[in-house]
Amino acid sequence: MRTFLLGYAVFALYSVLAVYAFYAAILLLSHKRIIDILKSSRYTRYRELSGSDQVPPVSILVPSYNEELTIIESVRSLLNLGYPSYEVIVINDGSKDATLQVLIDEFGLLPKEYVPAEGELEAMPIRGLYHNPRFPKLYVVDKENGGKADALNVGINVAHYPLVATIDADSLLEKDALIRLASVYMENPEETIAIGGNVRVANGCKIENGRVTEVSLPRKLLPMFQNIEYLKSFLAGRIGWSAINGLLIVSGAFGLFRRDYLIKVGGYRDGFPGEDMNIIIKLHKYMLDNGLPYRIAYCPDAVCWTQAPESLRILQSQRKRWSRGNIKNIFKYSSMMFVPKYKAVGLLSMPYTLIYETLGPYLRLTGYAALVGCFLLGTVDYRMMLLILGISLMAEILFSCGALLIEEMAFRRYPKFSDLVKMMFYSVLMTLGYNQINVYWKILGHIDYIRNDDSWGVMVRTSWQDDASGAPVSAASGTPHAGGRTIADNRTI
Amino acid sequence: MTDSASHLVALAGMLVVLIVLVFIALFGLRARAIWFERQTRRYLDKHRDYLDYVKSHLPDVEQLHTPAGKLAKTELKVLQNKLFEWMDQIGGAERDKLAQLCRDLGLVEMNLRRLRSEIHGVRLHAAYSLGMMQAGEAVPMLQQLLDEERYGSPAFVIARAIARSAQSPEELDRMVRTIVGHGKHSHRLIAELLAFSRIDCTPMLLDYLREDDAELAKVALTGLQNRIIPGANRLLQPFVLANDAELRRLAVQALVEQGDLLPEAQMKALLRHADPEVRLAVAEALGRSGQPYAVALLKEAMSDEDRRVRTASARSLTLLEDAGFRALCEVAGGADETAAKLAAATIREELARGALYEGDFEQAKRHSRRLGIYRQFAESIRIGWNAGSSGVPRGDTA
Amino acid sequence: MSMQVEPQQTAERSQLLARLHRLLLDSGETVCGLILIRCALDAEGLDRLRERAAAATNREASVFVEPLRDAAAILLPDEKLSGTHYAALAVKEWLRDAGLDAGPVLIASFPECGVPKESDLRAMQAIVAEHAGRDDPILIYNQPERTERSRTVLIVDEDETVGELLDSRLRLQGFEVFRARDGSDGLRLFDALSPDLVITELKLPGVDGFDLIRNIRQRSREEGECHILVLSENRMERDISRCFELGASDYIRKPFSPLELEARIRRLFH
Repeated sequence: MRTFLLGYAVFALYSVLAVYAFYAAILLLSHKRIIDILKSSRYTRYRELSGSDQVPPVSILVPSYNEELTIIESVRSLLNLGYPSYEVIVINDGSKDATLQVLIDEFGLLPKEYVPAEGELEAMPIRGLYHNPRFPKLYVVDKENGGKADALNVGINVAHYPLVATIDADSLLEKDALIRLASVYMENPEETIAIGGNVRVANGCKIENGRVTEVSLPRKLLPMFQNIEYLKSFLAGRIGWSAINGLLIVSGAFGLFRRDYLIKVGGYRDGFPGEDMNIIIKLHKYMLDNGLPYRIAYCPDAVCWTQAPESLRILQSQRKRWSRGNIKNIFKYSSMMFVPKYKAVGLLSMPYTLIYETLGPYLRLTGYAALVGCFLLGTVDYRMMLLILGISLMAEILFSCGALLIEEMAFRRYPKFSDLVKMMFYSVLMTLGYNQINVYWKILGHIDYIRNDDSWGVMVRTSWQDDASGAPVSAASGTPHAGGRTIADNRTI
Repeated sequence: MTDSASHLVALAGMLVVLIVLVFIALFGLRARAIWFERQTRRYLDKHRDYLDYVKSHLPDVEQLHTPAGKLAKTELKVLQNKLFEWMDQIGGAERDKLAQLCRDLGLVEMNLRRLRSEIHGVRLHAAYSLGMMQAGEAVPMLQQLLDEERYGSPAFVIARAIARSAQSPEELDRMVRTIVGHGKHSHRLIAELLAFSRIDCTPMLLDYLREDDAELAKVALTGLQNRIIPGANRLLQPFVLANDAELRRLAVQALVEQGDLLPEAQMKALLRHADPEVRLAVAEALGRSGQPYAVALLKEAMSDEDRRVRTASARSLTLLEDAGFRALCEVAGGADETAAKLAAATIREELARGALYEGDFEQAKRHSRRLGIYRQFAESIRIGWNAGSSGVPRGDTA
Repeated sequence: MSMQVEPQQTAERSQLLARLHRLLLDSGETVCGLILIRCALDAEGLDRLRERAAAATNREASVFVEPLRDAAAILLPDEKLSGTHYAALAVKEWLRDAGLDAGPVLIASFPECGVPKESDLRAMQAIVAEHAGRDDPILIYNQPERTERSRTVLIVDEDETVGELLDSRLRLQGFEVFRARDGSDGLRLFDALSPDLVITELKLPGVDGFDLIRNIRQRSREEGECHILVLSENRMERDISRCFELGASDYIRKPFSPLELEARIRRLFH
């Protein structure tokens, strides 16, 4: 029994390490391509493109639910992107607050007739379409509540242009983010069907007029941890997969898609939760099933800033939701795994996600339990236990620092030396509790999934937060003033 | 048990070493970046007066003097960055003077050396810099790099450098064929690139139209947009029947843009073409062309089966002044329900937009004329101004 | 200013003026540059200064140095303003090395800066005497008649490089230059300054370029009061015509030619 426990603990350790090593191998094999992506963004002339009429027009979809406090600022900043020709479509998903009214008042919107086209995506009915010729780029759609995926479907229906960009209502796009994505698209317009941008944590940054004017590290603990996490999972985590065309998620906060392919795969139907992963898997599947050459790219220099939750409760609900989305999508498309037809997605990234995201938490949990058991039974002395624990922590630290290295080589958004030291310190600190809590939340998410098995092909009327979190949404100030403000509110995402 | 223990110890040791290496790399990179920033500040401060001289007299002088004294390598890099920042913003003769200044500073030689570097990133930066300085002597080497480069963003960085620096159409041609050879349909980007060249590409693009290559033809048609193409009718006809949908669309657009050169019958035939993309292209182009027969053709096209063609026709009619607006009103009171609804919505939008320009005399005149035309047809048009609003209070008009 | 000093200064100035006129007549291109510095140098110092200036201009024509009270004037025949400016760089550096850079360096070139008169020299001496800036950039002299209608220009652009590039040049033309980074700042400055010319980009954070133009037009009814020049990357025909509809006076695309920009500005003010 004792040797079994020890053996199991060591086995769990090696499995976790193997997963890391696997991803590291992928990074190494495609390092040239990765460096290409990172370096060339510096020398591509986005300025000339941003005024050119060769750039394809884009419909930006902004699904909104109860965003009355920040929707104006978001929309104003979206109306001012460095992009030649685009439209912004705000989809009001039956908000209970004054989101729609606030928009109508601010922009003087008038009702407009909506003529549905043939072959549209299924969605909750539209209550109204609003527009003001004085703001020709802005359209607001009011619809019955149906969830984010449903709102996106409506947006796709209403969109006029062949390219569609999705962005969260509380995120801030950088001025050149869209043109960077479009430039990647233009390099290969036939084959590129989706491009993901990079999401960064805006907490602690100075925000004026809907733009991040000064980048600083978050001051609070939780957002700081999330900052490192985003660098780890979004930056480092996605760049490897995109190099081998095995990208499983394009962040819901910011992505660019070809509208025709979105419609071909049925839009975001039954995509809640985890609609961002769902749509990408569907796209992969469609293209591979039909033998069409394609690529789904990741553009790390196209940046979208988002507010990370600052309270444990909201963070927990977010992580549980992500975990639910993950496991739901993996299970739903499990038929793709290990099938050679599905190339990198089926053979590499989905199994990886299965082991890392879905099974990983249990491996770790049981591994820790076994280790503690060993210790209590006296099989191992404290040194051995520390050794095993230490190795697992060091692997995590190595990964975080590897992500920091990629950030340092290509972007260096946090320019001070003290910033670097802080980030390294927090990467270490993360492993002493934060990562473990995340494991716990992932498991909670799985349990939720098993209990609320309600999203199989049924259009569910939901809000975006399942748990009735009565957390007050407080903003630092209602009106932005010339001095700018730092947003430090609790947003329920 | 000790066996696994020693394995684990070895593993731990390896991890520690790796972490230390990464830490060192992180600190090293950051230190270097901060050092370079400091040097930048220092050198920019040192040369503040000199840069002031450059800025103040750029349009006046024939040739800018280089700063006195010998310049360190980092100093040159800092100056290069600054000058490139400026060259980004300006064009014309002044930009050439700055490029000449770069050359006098020895930056062309420096970058030619870096072009031979082992590190890909350094080569890329050198290519970019040489492009900014329009260094014609670098083109052969750049072309070689382009040939070896895998398809992707770096290839376009090099291609752009070639486009900027090329001294002859042959060099441009070779660059275009290399990119097109990858078969990725990036004709728009290529056309964008060619716009940077100082060489007139028109003869080259016209030659592309005579070749049998769909990709080259697309590049040519994109590059020749809004321009008169001699012999367009004959040249472009085969492309209208091509397999490639994008090529068809571009060909039709180009044909319509030829203006007076295209007979009405041909336009009509194109509007009845099987491919909706072709019809769409014709509808859009007719709006820009201002041909006398355009209005009648667009009126017909508003009953097209494809929604995009109908919408494009309506929009094009709004661009055709009073005659177009009148036609819209006629359709709005006409028999075809779908077309009538679309026309009505378009009219409403146009009138709402017209109400905005109180200040401009021309706009106000146009708006009042349109209102007059609308009133003539008002009885036959069943537009409800409150249609569509579901009791939600409307905001102000302007 | 004691009574004894005045006549001496006037005498020095007349001598300088005479020298200047002489050089202008003798020089091949009827051009002469002038660098005025504040320093107290002995004959040897003046000599070294002359050598340094001569080395900087790299020309056969010799350089003359006229000592004045508490100042020195370096005359550079056949040097236009740009050449004078370049030579002044070397002079300034020399002064700094010798620890004599207590005051600014003022340059001028005639007839580029006008026909040289005694009043000009007096004004130049006054400038050099007043400014105490050690870190001042090299000042360029502008005749008072040219700057009596000192016009203000407001540059609104998120990108600082544009303002940086245009700043020196516009000041040379007699403008007072102000810069704003976004639309709302631009409006605020417009209200405060009532500039004669606004150069604006279209894509601005906050209040965008179109709104800015519209608001400015609303606040200044007649065209003559304030000219709006749009300097933008945007090449879309639709947006260009919209600018003109809203009341812009001119539209220049980026990348722009500074010479063309200046020509268009001149045309706006005629």
